[in-house]
Amino acid sequence: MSVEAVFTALADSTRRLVLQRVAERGDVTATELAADLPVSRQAVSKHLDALGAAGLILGSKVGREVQYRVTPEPLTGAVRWMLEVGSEWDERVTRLRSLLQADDGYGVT
Amino acid sequence: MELHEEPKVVRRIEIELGPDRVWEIVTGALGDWLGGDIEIDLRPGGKIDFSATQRREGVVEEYEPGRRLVWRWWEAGDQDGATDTVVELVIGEANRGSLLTITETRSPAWTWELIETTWIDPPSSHPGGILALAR
Repeated sequence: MSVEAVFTALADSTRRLVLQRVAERGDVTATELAADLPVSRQAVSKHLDALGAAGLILGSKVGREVQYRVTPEPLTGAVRWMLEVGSEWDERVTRLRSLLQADDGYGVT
Repeated sequence: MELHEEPKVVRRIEIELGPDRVWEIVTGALGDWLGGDIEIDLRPGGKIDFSATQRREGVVEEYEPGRRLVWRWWEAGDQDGATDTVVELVIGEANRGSLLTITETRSPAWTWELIETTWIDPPSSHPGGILALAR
């Protein structure tokens, strides 16, 4: 597995969320994930493809649906770290934006 | 396997305020947005105590007022650097104001662990195996 491919796959915050959900729930389909996330089933499928290409998740066919689970790779230590630290910074950035928002002439893009 | 980078987390925020003002807000109220009471001595070598709410402590490594702040922190009580990470805040000018870039990087010690656990079977083209790839 390429470490760079993992970084690229995890660069997108929605994709990190998708991965987190797959890790949390295990054996989950794109439809189930889409019901749980603020994105379309089509978008979820694209994220699942990218995560699969990076070797982070595996899909297996069950009936007409594909069930996904995280890949039991040693790399998950680093991936878990990136997910946890990433969500910590997401929270901090949200708080920082509020602080900046309170300042005159504010605007955050 | 290519290894260009250590594991890291990066967040970039564009702000429609001048870099000086952003710096004042970011460093003036660190605890307010980092999430808990933090004591930080803003100079190289200055101590960071974030243990009351986040069980972390650390040290300022670089301090360039108005531009850049780098600190190293770890889980409170950790003596051997096993949980060290480095946080860098950089503020620069952007089209519509400022760009704040936040980067948290795992220390080389952790990266070694990562390499050793992922690179289980070094190919013969790299006789040095793990060492050859990491350097």
